[in-house]
Amino acid sequence: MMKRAWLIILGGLAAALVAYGASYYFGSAPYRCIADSKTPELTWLQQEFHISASEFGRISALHDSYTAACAERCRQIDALNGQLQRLLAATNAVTPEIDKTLQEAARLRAECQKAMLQHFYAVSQTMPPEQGRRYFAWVTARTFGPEHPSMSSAAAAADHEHHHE
Amino acid sequence: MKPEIPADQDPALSGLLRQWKVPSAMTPGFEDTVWRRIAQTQRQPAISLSLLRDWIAQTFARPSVSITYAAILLVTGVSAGFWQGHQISTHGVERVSVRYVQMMDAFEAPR
Repeated sequence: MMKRAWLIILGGLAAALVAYGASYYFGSAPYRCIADSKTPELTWLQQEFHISASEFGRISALHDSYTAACAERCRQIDALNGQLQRLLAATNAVTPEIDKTLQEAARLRAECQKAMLQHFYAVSQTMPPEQGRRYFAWVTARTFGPEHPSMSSAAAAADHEHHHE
Repeated sequence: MKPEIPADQDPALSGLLRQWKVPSAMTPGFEDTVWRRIAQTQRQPAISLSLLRDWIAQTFARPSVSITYAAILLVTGVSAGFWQGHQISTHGVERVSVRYVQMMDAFEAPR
């Protein structure tokens, strides 16, 4: 009788462990599917905005073209930041060179934002209308909305307070 | 107020103290009783363990208890596994969406 009881106790625990493992596997399946793909970010986009295979092909092409141009702009931003750091280290006033570099940085930022916005419009127009609207609202909230570091008034206010200290 | 009388001068108390006797002899079998109680205390864990085993055997002999026990463990395992898997998945998907935004935004891209 005791043997039967132990069999039930240990068998129950083993079954619970197996059930835990199996349900964990199914519970984490959406992320595994994304993480295991070649381009997780695009796979996420496809799943999140219910994009069909043909639309996904066009969006992937737009994405590749945009990221190649974006990498070049990243290189320019890095070069400009490096130049600005060198100029700032060499003087204690706003020289014409610093002024020119700042203007160039502002121009580059505007160019980046314009290209980004054009890409978002192109991608959203490739999606089904409802999903396109949702995508555009979602992505612009994160790149142009108050959540973005460069758009945050709270961050700017904190920066100003820090300078006044 | 009644004046206080020192204890050694109180005749009533002195009389009582004289009558008081301490029983010096132990009850018959006192020593045996003590040893029996000590032995009983030492045997108790074994008795408790055997009682527990009997209780487990008898309890799990009832099908209703066995089925309830297995069902509770199964439901707990399934719920905990699914909940944890879902949490991991949600956080992972959130990280991927953040990476997508970073890929789009040259000023937010990690360098």
